[in-house]
Amino acid sequence: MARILLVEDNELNRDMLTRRLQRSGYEVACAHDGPQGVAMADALTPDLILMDVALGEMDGWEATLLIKARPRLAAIPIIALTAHALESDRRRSVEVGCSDFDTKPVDFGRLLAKVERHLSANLTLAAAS
Amino acid sequence: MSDGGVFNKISDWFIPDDLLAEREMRTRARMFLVSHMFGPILGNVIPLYLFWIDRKSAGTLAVLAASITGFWIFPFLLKFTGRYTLLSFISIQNLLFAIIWGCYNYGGLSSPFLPWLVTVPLLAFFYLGASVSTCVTILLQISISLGIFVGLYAFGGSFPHNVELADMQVIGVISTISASIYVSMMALFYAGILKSQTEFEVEVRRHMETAEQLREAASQAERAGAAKSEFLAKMSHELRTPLNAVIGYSQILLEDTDPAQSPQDVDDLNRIHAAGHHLLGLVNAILDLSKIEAGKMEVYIEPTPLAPLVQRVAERWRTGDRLNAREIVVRDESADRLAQIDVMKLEQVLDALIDNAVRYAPDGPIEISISQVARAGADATRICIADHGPGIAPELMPTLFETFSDLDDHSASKYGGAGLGLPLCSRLCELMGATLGVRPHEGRGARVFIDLSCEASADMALPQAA
Repeated sequence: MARILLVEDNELNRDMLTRRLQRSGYEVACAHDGPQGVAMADALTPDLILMDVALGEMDGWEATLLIKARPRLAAIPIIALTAHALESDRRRSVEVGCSDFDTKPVDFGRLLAKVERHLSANLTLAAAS
Repeated sequence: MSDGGVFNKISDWFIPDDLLAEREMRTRARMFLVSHMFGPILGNVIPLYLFWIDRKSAGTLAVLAASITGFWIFPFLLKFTGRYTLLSFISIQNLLFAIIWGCYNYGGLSSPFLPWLVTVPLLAFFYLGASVSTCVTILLQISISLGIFVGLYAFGGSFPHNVELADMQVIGVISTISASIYVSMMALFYAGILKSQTEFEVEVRRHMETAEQLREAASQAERAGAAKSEFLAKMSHELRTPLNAVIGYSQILLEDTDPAQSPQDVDDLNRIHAAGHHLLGLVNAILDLSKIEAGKMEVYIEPTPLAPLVQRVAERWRTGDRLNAREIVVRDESADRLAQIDVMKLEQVLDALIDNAVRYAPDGPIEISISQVARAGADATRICIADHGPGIAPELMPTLFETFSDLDDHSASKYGGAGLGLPLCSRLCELMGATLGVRPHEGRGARVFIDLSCEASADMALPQAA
């Protein structure tokens, strides 16, 4: 069962996403802020990370950069979740090394499709190496 | 001074430009001119009176009159040589000469001409200012002139005695009066200059206060602008978070509810979900409008092929559940042209316009066409969305792009609009340099078009794929 790390500071968003991801068959771990997100990524080595961008003192972009900087974690696909559909956000997500990005409110079907796509892509990569 | 204007015009003709340019020198030069124009008039009264009572001293008096009248030459000398300082000292020397010549010939050390010595330092101050070098030079001039006078007295014997003592008293009175008038005239003129300088200073201070107020207002406006952006950003986040919860949890509950067992619950939850989405649409529209109005809306314009974008939007609607088996037809005559647009914003506009068509035109297909048109002499690409609904009544056209006006309250409640769609779309188009237009076609369906200015596509490059 694939493990997803969800980094999201809002309790309601965390709850909603966790339940729906679990129902779709994933194991979900949650972090409440950037530093905790980086620490848990290090500890758990998840298969995919969902990173909320608006996090607080350390924003999602910074946390992504920190995770990508660690060689052991650099290959984990990260999907950025932003509240705005801004072009600047899309560019930024590419800059910091995100594999994809999605907007809130989350259209769960759309997000799930992205999650599945990136997980299978990674599995193929892992199998090939 | 009421006639200051005329007098100034005349006197300024004599004053060289470099003196006119600087305020203090201009004042001094004008005093110089007043003194030299009116001084001889007052001064010549004395030799004239003396000539009247003492015909035999014509020669002496001629010298005196010549010296006094000579002051009238000085304005012209100033005009044609511009040597103001030198002329001032020479003028004062001339005055000293006239006084001492008069003293020597009429009364010696008790001469009625002596009071005029008082005017010498006064004039020196008016002409040249009170600098150290001026004071020293003037003192030297007075000392040397008086010294010569006293020397003549000490070595030359007594002074000539031309006039009786009694007559000398009249001269004394005349001399004192004319000197007083002269000094008063100079003082009044100077007071006039001081007054206009004060008025000038008051003006300047008022201007500086206004400038200060403007600066304060500008920085307040800047602070307000910054506060507005902060507010928008904060509100955006604060409003969307609970809305996400309403939409998300109703969705979760829907997934958990068995429609066979609790169809009413499914209905209720669908309503909550729809209301949440509706509210989110309103919040987004209001926030977008506020952002545009505050000038804080970001736009990323890049050359984009239109046909794929329109197809993408149409496909999204087809796979969605709002169309209810209606058709969206795309007619593409764009010939792969590119247009300078913000991709996300154009998609947002198209979504809103198609949403309008779906809501106001319940039957019939929705047609989207891309074509070339000529607008204001230039080529433009037009995206037109046409429906087969009731259209828009012509009398509603003027208020169509005003926020919060809707077709009418009845259709607002029936179709669930809040009158934000068209105004926001119109402003978003403006941000991209495009125009949004509407043709009412009442009874036959509305036609909304977006005209995008396009440049020759051949030399436009597509951005590198990310």
